[in-house]
Amino acid sequence: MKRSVIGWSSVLLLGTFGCGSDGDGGGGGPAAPVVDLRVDNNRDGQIDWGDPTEDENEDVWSVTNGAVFLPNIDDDSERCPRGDQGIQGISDVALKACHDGANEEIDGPDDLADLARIHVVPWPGAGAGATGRVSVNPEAAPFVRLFRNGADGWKVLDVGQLSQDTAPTYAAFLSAEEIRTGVELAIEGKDVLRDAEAWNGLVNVELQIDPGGGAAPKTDLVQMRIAPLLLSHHLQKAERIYVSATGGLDSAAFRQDLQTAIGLAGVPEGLSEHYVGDQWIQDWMETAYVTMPAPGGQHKIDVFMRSVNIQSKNVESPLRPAGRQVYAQLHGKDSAGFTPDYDINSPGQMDSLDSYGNTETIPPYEHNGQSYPVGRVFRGSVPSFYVDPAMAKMLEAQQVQPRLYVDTSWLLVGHVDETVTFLKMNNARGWGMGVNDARLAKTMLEQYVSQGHGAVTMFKGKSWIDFQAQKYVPAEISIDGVLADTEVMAESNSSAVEVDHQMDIIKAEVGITDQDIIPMPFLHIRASGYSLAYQPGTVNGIYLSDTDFGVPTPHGPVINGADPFVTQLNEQFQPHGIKIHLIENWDLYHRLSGEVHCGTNTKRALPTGAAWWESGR
Amino acid sequence: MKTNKLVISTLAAALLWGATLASAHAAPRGAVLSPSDLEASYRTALVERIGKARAERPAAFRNVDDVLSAVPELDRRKRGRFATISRELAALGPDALMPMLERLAVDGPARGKLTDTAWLTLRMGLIEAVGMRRDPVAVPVLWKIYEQESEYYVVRSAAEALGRIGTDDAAAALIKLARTRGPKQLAVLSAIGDCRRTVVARGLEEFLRSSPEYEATRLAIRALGDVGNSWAWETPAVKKTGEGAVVRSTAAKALVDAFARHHRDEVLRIAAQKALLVVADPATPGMIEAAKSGADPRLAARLDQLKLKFVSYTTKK
Repeated sequence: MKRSVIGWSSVLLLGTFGCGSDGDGGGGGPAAPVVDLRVDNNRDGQIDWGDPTEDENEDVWSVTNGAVFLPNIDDDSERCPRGDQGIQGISDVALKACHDGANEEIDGPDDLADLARIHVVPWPGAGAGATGRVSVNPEAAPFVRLFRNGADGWKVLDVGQLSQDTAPTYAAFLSAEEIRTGVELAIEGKDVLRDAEAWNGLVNVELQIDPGGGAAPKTDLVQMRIAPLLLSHHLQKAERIYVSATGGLDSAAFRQDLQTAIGLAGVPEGLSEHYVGDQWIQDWMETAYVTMPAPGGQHKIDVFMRSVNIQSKNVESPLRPAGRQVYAQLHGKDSAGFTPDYDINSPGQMDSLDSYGNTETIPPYEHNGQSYPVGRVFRGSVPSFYVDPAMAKMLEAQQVQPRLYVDTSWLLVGHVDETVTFLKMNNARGWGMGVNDARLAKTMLEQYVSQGHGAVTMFKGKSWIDFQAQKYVPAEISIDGVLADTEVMAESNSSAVEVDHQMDIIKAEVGITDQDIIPMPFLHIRASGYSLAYQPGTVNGIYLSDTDFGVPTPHGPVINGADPFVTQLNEQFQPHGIKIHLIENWDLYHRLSGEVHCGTNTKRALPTGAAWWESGR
Repeated sequence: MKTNKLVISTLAAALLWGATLASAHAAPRGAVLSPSDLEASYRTALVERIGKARAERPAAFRNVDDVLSAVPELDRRKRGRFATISRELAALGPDALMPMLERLAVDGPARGKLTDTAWLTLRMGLIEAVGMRRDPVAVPVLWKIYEQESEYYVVRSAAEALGRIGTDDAAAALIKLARTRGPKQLAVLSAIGDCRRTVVARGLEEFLRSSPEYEATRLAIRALGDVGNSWAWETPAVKKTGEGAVVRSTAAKALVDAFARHHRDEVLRIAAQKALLVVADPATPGMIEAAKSGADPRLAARLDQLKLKFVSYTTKK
C-alpha cells in the first residue's frame, strides 16, 4: 500500500511542525535527544551499540567504513519455478525477474538473513510530541527496498514523496513510543547494480527526529553501499565442478577423467552434471558471488550468471537456452541464477565474445601504485570485435574489478581462455600464468626431427570427425608432416605474435615477468581466416586446486616411450607444486574448437585475502 | 534417458542431411556454382576428370560426403563464429580434390534446412580445402565463385584459395583487385596474404603508399605479415617458389614504412609491429635505423622501441 503524495506531505508537516509540547516527557529537565542510526559501519558483521566505530564517518562510505547490503537475488524459499520441467514455457524475461529482491515480502528467515539491518537507537526520554522518520535518498529508492520490524512482523515500508519537489522514496514514520523503544529496519537491493549512470550504488539513510516542544529537528545519516557482483579467480579454492553431460562415449570418457582428477584434487563438493545438449558449460555460465560482512566472516550469495549469447530475436526469450540451467538447477537458498544486461541487437558475428570462456579474472595484485585486491575482469575485446556493450557496462558498474581487455579477434572462437591461464606461484605476487607458446612447440618438434624422429606420428588413433556418427577422418600425422603444413606453421607463427602482444598488455598492467610465466606449447591452424588450436590447447585447462591442474591430453608424438608435450608440462608445473592431470577431450571438445576449460565450470570459495570493501574502489 | 535423446537427435540430423543430399539431384548444381556457370570446355574437362576420379577412387567421394554430412551436427555444437570443416577436408589428402570440386560446382548438396552458419561452414570449408590442395585445376571454379558471390566470407575464401594456389595470373589479378575500391576489396585484402608471391608483396607496398582508407590500410598491413610469414616460408609448398628472401625483405621494408607513416595511430602501429615480427626478416633492425633518419623525436623513440621489441622477440629462446 502506497501513501499518497498529499498524505505524506501532511505527515511530514505534522512531524516537523506539530503542536506537541510535552518536552522530554520525563518530568525532569530536557535531556539531549538521541538521534542515532546504527548500521554495521565497522563491517564486523554485527551492530554494536557501544562501539564508537559504528558511528565514525558513517555518513560517507569509504575504504575504512560504511555498511553493505546485498542485492537479494537468490530464492531462499524456493518459490520460483525450478527444474528442467518446471521452467518449461517460462520466458527468459520471466525467469530473470523471479528472485527474493523482486517481491515485497520477506521470504522466510533465510531471506531475512540476506538483508542488512538498520537500527534507530532508542531515545527513552522522548516526549509524547516527538516524531521522526527514516528515509532514503530518492535517487536510490528505485533500486532498494526497506522493511520495518513491527508488532506484526516485517513489513515493507511505504513509498511516497517527502516533499512535492522530490521523487518518491521509502520512509518509516516514527511515533514517540517507537522513538523511545527504537526501531529495527532492514534493507535489500532489488537487483544487482546494472548501470552506474542511473545509480552509483550508494544509499543515504537518514533519521530525522523532531523532539517536539519547538525544539529544532535533528538528523543522523548513514551511507550504505550495495555489494558488487564479483567474479571468482583461480586462487579461490574450488568447491564444486560443473560439467554438461551430453551423453555418448565422448562425454563419458571426458567426465571419467574429469571425475578422477577432481577426486585426486580433493574438490570438496565434487562434480555436478547438467543434462543439457550444450556441452560448452564454461561459455553459457559464469560463477560469481556477492557478499556482505557477517559475524566471523562474510555472508555470501553464490551467483550463476547465464550467458548473454543472443540466439533468437524473440524479445521474451532471446538467450542461449542452456543458460536457463542457472534457474532450473542452481537458483535457491543463497544461490542465485542471474541474467546480465544485454543488447538484443548486438552484432551476431561477435556473439562468441559474450560466451564466458572470454570472461576470466586476473587474481589480486598491486602494480605501479594501483591495488586490485579482488582482481580484475579479463576479456577479449577490441574496437572492431567487441563484447556486448550492455553486458560490459554492467560489469564495469561493479567498480571493484576493473576490466582489462586484450585482442582476441584473431581467434576463430575469440576467447581469452584459449591462450592464458592463472595459477598459484610462490612469488611476491602469489601467482603466475600459463601461456600458450607456439614457438616452443615448433622448437620441440624441430628438435625431434633433428634427432631422427620426424616420421613419428602425433594424434595417433584420433580422428577429426565425430566417431559417434561413424565419420572418420584420420588426424594422425607425422612430425615432418606437421612442420611441412603451411596452414599450421603460418598460423602458429602469427598466433605466437598475437599471444606475445596479449602478454605485452598484461605485463604492462600487472607487472608480471617471464619468470612467472609457464610456457604451454601447442600449435595453431588457420580456419576461415582465423586461428584455432591445432594440437589440444593445454592452457585451456581446469585449475582444480593450488596443486592440481587438469589439462587436455596433448596426443603428441611418443618418443622414447613418452609424449614430450606431457613431459614438458610435468617438468614446468612440478617446481610450483602443481600436478598435471590429463583429461581426454579430443573427441568431445578439441575437434569442436574447445578444450577442458570450455567444458567445465567451477564454483569457488571466498577469497582468503582482502574483502571487496577494502579495495578502495 | 538424456543420452538416448541426444543419440536420436544426432541420427535425425544425419537422416535429414541424407534427405537434403538426395533432393539436390533434382537439378544438379554445386553448393556454390551451377555447371553452366563454368566455361564450356573447362566444364567438360572437369566433369571428365571427376568421372575418372570417381571410377578410380570412389572412397574419396564418400569421404568428402561424410564430412559434409557432419555439418549440421558440427554447426549445432559449434563454438565461436562458425564450425569448420576445412581441416577435416584437407586431412583427406589430394584424392579429395575432385570430389570437392564436384560438390562446389557440378553436383552438390542443396541448402535445405541448413542454418545460415551451417551453410556458410559447408561452402567455406569446401573452398578453403580446395585452395589448400594448391592445384591450378581449381582456379576457374574459384574465380567464378569470386565473381558471382557477394557473401563476404565466401568471397574471402575464394580469394584466399586463389592466393594459396598462387599462379602468376592469380597473384597479379588478386593484387589488382586488392587495390581497387569496391564491395569485395576488403574481402580480398583480408585473404591475399596467403598468396606468397613477390608481385603481391610489391603490390601491397605500393598500395600502402597510396594512402588507402583506414580499414584497407589495416588489412594490407596484416596481409604483408602473412605474405612474408617466416614460418610459412619454411614449408615446402611455399619455399619451392624461391621468392622467400625477396618477399620477406619487401614486406619488412613496406611494414617499417607503414609503421613510420601511421605511428600516431595505435591500431595501425601495433598492426605493423605484429606483422614485422611475423615476417622476422633479419634486415629489419637496419631498416628501422634507416627510418629514423629525419624522423621527429616521437617517431624516433617509437622506432627505437620497435627495434628493441623486434630484437628481443626474434632472439628469445
